[in-house]
Amino acid sequence: MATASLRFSAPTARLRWHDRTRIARAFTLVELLVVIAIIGTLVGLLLPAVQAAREAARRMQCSNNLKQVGLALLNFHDAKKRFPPGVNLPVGTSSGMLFPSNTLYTSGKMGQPPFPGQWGSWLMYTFAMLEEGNLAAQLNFTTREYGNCSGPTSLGATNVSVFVCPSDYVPKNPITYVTGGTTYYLGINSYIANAGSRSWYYPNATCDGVFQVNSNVKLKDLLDGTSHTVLVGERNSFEPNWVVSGEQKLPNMRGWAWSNFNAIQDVLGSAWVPVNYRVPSMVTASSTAATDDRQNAFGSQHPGGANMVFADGSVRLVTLVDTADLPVLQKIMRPNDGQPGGVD
Amino acid sequence: MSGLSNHPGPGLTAIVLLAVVIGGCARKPDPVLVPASGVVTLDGKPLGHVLVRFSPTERGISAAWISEGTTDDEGRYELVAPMGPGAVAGTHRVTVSEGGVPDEIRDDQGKVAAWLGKLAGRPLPGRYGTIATSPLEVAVGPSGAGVDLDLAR
Repeated sequence: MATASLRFSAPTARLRWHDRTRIARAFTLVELLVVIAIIGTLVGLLLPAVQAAREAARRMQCSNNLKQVGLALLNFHDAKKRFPPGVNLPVGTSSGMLFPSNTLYTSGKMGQPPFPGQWGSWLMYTFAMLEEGNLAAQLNFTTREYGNCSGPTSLGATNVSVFVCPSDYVPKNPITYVTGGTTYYLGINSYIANAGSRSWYYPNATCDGVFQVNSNVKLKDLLDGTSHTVLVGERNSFEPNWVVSGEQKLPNMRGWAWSNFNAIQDVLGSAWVPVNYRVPSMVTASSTAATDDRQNAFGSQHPGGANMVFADGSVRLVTLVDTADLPVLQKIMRPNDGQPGGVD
Repeated sequence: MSGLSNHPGPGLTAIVLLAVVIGGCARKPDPVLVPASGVVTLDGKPLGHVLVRFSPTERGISAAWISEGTTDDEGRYELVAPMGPGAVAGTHRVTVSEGGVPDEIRDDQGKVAAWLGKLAGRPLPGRYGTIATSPLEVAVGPSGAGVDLDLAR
């Protein structure tokens, strides 16, 4: 044993000394892995913060969009002495018109169009005030329903970035709509105008907001005060609980160029359900009641609430996401109920 | 040194920490759904095919707990929420509005108007249609309730 250890001790010592110098110059695999693990942990800690900062930036961009839209509506009011109609439609019995037999017309909740003979959504009427003068000049307001949307490069398919929230779910833009064998192309909108406490399905429409089919509201009609009245808010088009043939349905139910009676679904919003309402996952998509409620619900992909621009031009994140918040949400949608709702 | 003995021992600290952690993790229990049904009348006559909607007033309840029911020809309804049959025990803001139309005539404004016109008690008095104006506030007890709603023009 002693001889064996003697025989081997000298080379071992030499080897060790040699090893030690080599170690001093380079990392072992374990050291490298430890360093990578530490860096990985630190980056992992940082990533959510980076993502949150990016989302905060998108929310700010969205709130800026809404600011522009709000100012455009107020400028429109300066020029025409009234807000644009939610949807301007001729009264008649042709497809897409406001039917004279409609209970909303016979009851006087909806009347004759402020712009006779024209078809258009509130978004189309704000173009001139959003420095989209080219679009405003070229759009044909006398063609019915989706006449501006015949092809993927037609005017109605234009992507108007001020109408799109950067956090919104946009699987495709323009979206397509097929009817009578023809495909129409519509540039999308993330923003919907305040039609009061309920707007769709329409026999239950309350018409107590600022915008509606053939609405003709002036600032002096907002008796609760401009800072207590919503003009426009966001809609969240991400709705995984409403899928038809493998595709989410809601992202295809929008477009600023919609100009017919059913456009209420695409360009108006209301407070029948709380902010950020989702189709409950236990309800099947065939439940028209649940999906009707969803189409006009305000909401967003931003955490906590949805941006809304008020009639005084201020943009606020409205966080009324609770069922118990519904009365307050309806108060800020109803401009002359004598109950100005307070939101920060 | 004698002062140190008054400090809580590690065991007590651990118990306090555990209690705080467990307390922090505890979720608010889901609301309880209890059976609720009733009859809707307008000026004493049964009101068919209207949507009765009970929205809980308690805070922290999502829209999936809002209960709805559509009345039959005799005005009877039974409440169902997306989370299950019944209504949340507690107080509710109640609205009564049109109960929808058959899917095949949905897109035809003329047919919808004609269809609604044939129903009894139309047009509905508008103030019951939305929370902002509806005077109906109803309590549902812990073992359920029969809630008859008599509306007036």
